[in-house]
Amino acid sequence: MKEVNFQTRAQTKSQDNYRVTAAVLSAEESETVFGVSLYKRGIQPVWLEIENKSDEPTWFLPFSVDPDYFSPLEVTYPFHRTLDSRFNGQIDQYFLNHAMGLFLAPKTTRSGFVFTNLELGTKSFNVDLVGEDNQPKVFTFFISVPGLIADHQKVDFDGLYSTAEIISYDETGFKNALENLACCPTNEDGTEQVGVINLVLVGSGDDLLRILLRSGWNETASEKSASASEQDLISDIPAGYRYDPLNALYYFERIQDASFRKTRATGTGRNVLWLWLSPMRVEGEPVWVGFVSRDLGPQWPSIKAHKVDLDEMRDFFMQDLWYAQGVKKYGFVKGATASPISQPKKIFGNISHITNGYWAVIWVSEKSIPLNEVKAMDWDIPPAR
Amino acid sequence: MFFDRCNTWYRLALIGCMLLFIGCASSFNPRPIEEVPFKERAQTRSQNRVMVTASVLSAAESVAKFDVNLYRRNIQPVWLEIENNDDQAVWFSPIGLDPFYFTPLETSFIGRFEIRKSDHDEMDRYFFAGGLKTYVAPGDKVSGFVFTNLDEGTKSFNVDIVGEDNQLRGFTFFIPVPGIRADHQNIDWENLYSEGEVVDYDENALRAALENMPCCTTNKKGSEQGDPLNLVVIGDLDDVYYAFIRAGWDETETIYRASMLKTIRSFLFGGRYRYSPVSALYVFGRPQDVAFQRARTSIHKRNHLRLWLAPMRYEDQLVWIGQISRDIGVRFTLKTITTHKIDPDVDETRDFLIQDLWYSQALKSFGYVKGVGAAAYSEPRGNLTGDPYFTDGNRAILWVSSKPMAFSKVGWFEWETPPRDQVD
Repeated sequence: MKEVNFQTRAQTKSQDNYRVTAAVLSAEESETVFGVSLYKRGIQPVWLEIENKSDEPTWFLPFSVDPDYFSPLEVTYPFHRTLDSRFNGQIDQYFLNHAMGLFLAPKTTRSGFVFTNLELGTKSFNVDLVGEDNQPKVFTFFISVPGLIADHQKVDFDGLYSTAEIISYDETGFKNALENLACCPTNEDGTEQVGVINLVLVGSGDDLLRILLRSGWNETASEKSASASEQDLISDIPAGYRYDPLNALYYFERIQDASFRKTRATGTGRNVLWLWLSPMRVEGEPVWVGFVSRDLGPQWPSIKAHKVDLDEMRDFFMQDLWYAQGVKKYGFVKGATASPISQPKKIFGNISHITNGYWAVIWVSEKSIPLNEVKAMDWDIPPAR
Repeated sequence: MFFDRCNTWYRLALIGCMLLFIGCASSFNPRPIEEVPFKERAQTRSQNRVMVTASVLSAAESVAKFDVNLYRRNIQPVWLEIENNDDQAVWFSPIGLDPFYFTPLETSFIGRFEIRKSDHDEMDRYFFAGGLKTYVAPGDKVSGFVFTNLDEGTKSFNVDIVGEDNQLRGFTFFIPVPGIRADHQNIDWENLYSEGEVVDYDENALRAALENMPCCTTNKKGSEQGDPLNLVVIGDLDDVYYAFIRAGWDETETIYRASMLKTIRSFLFGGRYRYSPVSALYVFGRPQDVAFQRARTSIHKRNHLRLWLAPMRYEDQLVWIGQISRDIGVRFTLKTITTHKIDPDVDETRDFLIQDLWYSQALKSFGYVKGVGAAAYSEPRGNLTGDPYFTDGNRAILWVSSKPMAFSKVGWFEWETPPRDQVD
């Protein structure tokens, strides 16, 4: 294990009398450490080292890292060989010995692996420790998994706008400015509208990323620059479609700066999100313009005309962040013309959009905001349906 | 001609229709809401001048109401009526009911394959109009459908309503769905034990009594020992039921023909049939009274637990003895042809359950008690199907709560020390 240098990428957090160091193994590292291809089975080892500097016995709860984690012998069973009990015994013993136990004796350090469900891009998880007082100590990690570079990681955000291009607004000026933004993302040469903006998000890129990950959105590879090894990785893992690149849409005369997917376990109905950083700042915070929609799946490409209710998707997105306790305040502005169900707006192929043209404007917060402390702006009110 | 325009899906569907002699791509003929009597089973809850009525449509009712077999597509319509008697507007958030709910137009899209193309537009409008509005003005009443992921047995869900005053009202529903025969529905609870048989225990006597309970389940004759009885659950039937369902466990069906077919189907196609029956193990000379399972993405990977009501009471609560195991794969045996291979590390599975209930705020108190008898990794014992297991010999005690319990408020029985190490 010493030969594999995943520990150099480890992150460390300390709190009270505890230190937690965590690293996420890549596909190759997992294979080197365990001798079997865990990624192909949808399993990702997370390495932890926990130091209990207190005088109290303490327990680590693997459920906090992943409520559907795999037990060590569950991981090894599919790799068992018929009639080779020596090998089977060895692999079982190896995984058990390298598993992270629950018990952390006073004044000791313990390390080992938790076998989690595979995630690419940035893996976000908690490590919860609990002592005899039953008070949880929570350590939150955001760790980049080698192998997939998310589209936003290739964007030079500081170089997007010069200082002169950036415009700062107060709240009132901000609302007026939003009403003057273009309604729709287009294709590359700007000749065709391919969606309708329905979101405006206010907050730093880091905060926004953390909240999206917290509520279960996945980063995606960039369509234009995904390398062959990235494409292989995506096609090689179970449910790799979660990381498929999204279509290139254009706004502010450029391709999206970041795109995300959130899928159901069954694979049907994939929520898709495109984001662009705008040159606007409101009270110092960056402003992002977004389009959230739902991809009903690639299975019936040619024969089915279908309608996507963009208002429902906008409201879904808002609730999603709200339940992830990531919304500080919100409001609505009328940003586009309405396309009611009687006159849906056709976009490429047979897909049409229906919308009342209102955009949700959401101030995000990395600090958890309880559901009932979210503020509503006294702006426009979308019509009841 | 026809084939030129259609992709593989249509061809398969066409073949399927011909084989089954059933109608395909018929016209769209939903029935008016009054003719489908699902509202008779509706439940109503009130809180702070907001009243919520909810009903879950059965498979047949969904077909009648929407003219599409939604259950086959894993979609279950929930009907809600929200009456706002407050002087401020309120909003309903469907994501609180099911974070992966289907939008009305999405549901229409998924189901439209059964309906002829010329009616698709009408169908879209019908589903769209039937969707529940999320905004309820003061003094107003709205009703409509939320299209959720399918649950059989008992559907548990929250209806979260937030007011313009930012007040959050949460309504919790547990609604039985017609169509599944869960284990516990067959039990004659009244006659399991006579009054004289049931003994009340204080804490010390309970500990001693639990230590003396049998170590393991048996076969029907009681001649062979099976999986270790590594759980003790304290709580009345409703508490047990609410706690496990809230933590994402599903009831199971007793083995009868229809459910066997469903299991075989999910076994062959690797799908996720969450309610497949569990086989019978025996304690007190009878098979389990209640069984739950918690599925992952395939039937091959699930946790099973079985409970038997014991003739014991503790602080006026029922006491159950039980067994939990984690399936980690399928293997072939002489006795049952195929069986699920269990994780030999049964303590790991037991401790998973504690965390599961703890994080779902369903645990009032927990601890460990002896009684199983230790079996080392190097000298494992075997269950009825010959799977080896090793254990520290402790059972987990889980005092469950139907009211949510905060993480840090959970109590602790100071009996045995919690597990320290898995393997020596």
